[in-house]
Amino acid sequence: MRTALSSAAAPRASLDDLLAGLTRHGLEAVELRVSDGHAINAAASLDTLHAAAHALREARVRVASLLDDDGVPTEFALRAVRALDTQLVVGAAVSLYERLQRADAARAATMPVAVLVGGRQADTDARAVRAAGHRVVWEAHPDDAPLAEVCDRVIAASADALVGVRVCGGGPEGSLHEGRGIGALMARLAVAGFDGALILAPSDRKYHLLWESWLRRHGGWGCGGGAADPAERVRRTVPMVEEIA
Amino acid sequence: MSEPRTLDVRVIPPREKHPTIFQTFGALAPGESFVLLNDHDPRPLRYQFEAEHAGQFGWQYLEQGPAVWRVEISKASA
Repeated sequence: MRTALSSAAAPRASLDDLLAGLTRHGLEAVELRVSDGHAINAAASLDTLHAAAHALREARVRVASLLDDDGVPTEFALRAVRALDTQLVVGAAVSLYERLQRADAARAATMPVAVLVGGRQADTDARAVRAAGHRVVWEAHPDDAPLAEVCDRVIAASADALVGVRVCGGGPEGSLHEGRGIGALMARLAVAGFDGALILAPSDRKYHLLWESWLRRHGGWGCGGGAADPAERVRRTVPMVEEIA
Repeated sequence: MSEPRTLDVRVIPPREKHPTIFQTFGALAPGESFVLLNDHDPRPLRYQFEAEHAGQFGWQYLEQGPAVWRVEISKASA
């Protein structure tokens, strides 16, 4: 299992800033959401993609996936996936039917591709994705608690097709979601020997400032009581997006 | 799904970290192990293991900072 950070955690960050934060926290991989500030998007030239690939190699960070919520042109996706040595993940912003159509098109273009599933129907969607011959990335969100139970069903439905788990609301947000089963979820994945990508992502855009603040500093948030939790101090001092909007 | 088993506790809410680690340890068969991944030296955890599972576990540092600590925790053979 390798742990990645989604660029969704810091959507305004450049690729260089993301890589600096990943190195600071010892994270091995990054998920690049196409719509974020790292400039890997449909307007990116081949030179831009090669420069990004070079920066990633220098930082020893792999690209876990290129997450596409918007249906980017196949030509761009193919260039980016090849240049960054990664896979396309078709995001869950559209219906499962449309996701499978996009995944079929990507496969026809010889692209490694996976389909994002989530919500309370994650296991049934995962079963359909696997039946269509595609790989599965599961989005585990605290709103879908208890996550460990959903995890068991998703693992059973996906089997070897499960290549990634997006854990929304962990890390610096974690203490806000105590009791939702993130710990039990992680235990399930460990015991099952899950060896795909574990992708840290915010559960809501209102937490961006919390994540961006965490990305810029060293260290973790300890264990035990909230009083010793640096994320708690950050929350007290850094306003959320909704508070300054 | 295959080896290696890794438990990344950086993801887990602070108060759930130690219970999750002991839950994972409890699920191991004798002789099995998992790799704990943390953002600080988990020495207090080792003290807790020594208090509650003396003689039943192995503890081997695989990486010691500065950003990441990896410890292989094994369950002693029966």
